[in-house]
Amino acid sequence: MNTVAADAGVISAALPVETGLSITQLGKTYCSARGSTAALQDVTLEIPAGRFVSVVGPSGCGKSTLLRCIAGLEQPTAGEIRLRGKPVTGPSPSMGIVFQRDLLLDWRTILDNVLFTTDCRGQAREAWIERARDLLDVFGLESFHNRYPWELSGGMRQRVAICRALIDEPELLLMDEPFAALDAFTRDDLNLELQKISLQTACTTIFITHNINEAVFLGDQVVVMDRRPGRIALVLDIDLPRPRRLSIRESAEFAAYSRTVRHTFEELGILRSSA
Amino acid sequence: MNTNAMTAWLRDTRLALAACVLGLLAWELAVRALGIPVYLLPAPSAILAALAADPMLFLYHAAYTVQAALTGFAVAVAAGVAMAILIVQSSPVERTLYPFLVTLNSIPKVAIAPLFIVWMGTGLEPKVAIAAMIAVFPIVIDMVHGLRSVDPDMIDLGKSVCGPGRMKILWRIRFPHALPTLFAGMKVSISLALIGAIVGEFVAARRGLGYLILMAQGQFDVVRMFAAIAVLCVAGLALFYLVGYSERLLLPWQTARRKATAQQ
Repeated sequence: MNTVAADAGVISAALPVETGLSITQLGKTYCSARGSTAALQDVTLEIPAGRFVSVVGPSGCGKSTLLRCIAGLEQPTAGEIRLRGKPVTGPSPSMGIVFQRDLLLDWRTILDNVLFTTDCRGQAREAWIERARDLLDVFGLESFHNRYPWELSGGMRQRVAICRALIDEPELLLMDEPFAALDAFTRDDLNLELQKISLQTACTTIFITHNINEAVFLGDQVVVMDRRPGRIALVLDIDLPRPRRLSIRESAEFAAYSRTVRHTFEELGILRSSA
Repeated sequence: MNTNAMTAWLRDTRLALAACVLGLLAWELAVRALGIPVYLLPAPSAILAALAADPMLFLYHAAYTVQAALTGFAVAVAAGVAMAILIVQSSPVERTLYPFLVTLNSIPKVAIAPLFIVWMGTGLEPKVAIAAMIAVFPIVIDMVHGLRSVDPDMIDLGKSVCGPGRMKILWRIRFPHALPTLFAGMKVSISLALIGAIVGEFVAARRGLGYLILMAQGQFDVVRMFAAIAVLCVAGLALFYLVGYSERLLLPWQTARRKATAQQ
């Protein structure tokens, strides 16, 4: 399997070095009987390989549509998406997805849920079972391998969903508000665990959220989106050392980044600065 | 069944058993006290005596009826699941097959039973056919519902994992997701299969509990009629719990969850 790190040094004439995901003038318009709705307009984004990019925006700003287009689950009506130079035309095995709901399969044990992807692709269990166990261990689920999903809490289930997405070392990890349904404590735990695992792997991550602090805490870069039609309002590089502790959220730099994002939303009229 | 399972079973069913014993006792006393003639309503003791007098006779006929019901049920499950998959996978099939099924279901099966006798004779086949025809409807309805009720995000997950192939998503996600609902349909359907077998025997038969009831009626042997009905009742219960038992065996995740939520 090609690793991103190995490719990083290769100089290609056609492509900028280290290009992971490139999105060019992406647009998506839904047509219905009541007329057409533009969900995304002119979204252009260059994401170097291995980057963790948070996309933050209010509900209905098209951030989920953006993610679904990148995942190949929806066809954009304008522009194009390339993953390491290759156009994305449909679902690809080099991507792992985590949805807001964990979508674990009730009939599979935790270990079998993590192995779902490789099972579906007809790959031998022996090749992946060690990695599945290791992933579960990283997330503190070592004693739950043979349990069924209903026996686990919401946070644990979402951890399993992340393990499932990471099982075959995808180049691109797509996360659509994965922690939105969890309580604040569990969310903090999962933010730390996600940071830990993404520092261990080389995959590029697109993390959709509507939580500004979460976006700044996790991201190497925060993409702020405006709503209707979804456009990029700001791309902000977060220059905070890793691994980040939760206490970094109290630091002045962190507050400055959060404020910048919040100000952008205020200027867009999405957040109000006073009552 | 080991001792633990036995005690657990007794604990779960003791109320039902007690109610059953009390009911039989009340029946027995009422018949004796009111002097109800045996040709109208025999006492439970008389029915039990009739059963004990010739158990092999009842077993012989019950075996035939159960065989017809079970075979018809098996045909119904196979055909019902296949039809449900076709209906879910293809909308032209749905538009043609579904109205046909609904029409078929709206015809009282008793009315077409004689036709099956004409086509297939008086052997086991027409009973199996009638049983299958009655039993297939809940299977199709529940299986279609189960296959369709998958979370759309789950299908997206399937697409991203398995690629766009519909067969893989059907087999890996829709089918296992539908199994609990299929079993709900099967529990309804197994009782219907037994009804189908009896209906077939009522029309023309040389063996079976339905046949036995008709013969006893001809001879005005009400005790034997009741005895046959009692056997039929036990057979129906056994078939129902057979489906429940296979569900527990085949869907362990489902049974454990149901138990856990029931205790809350």
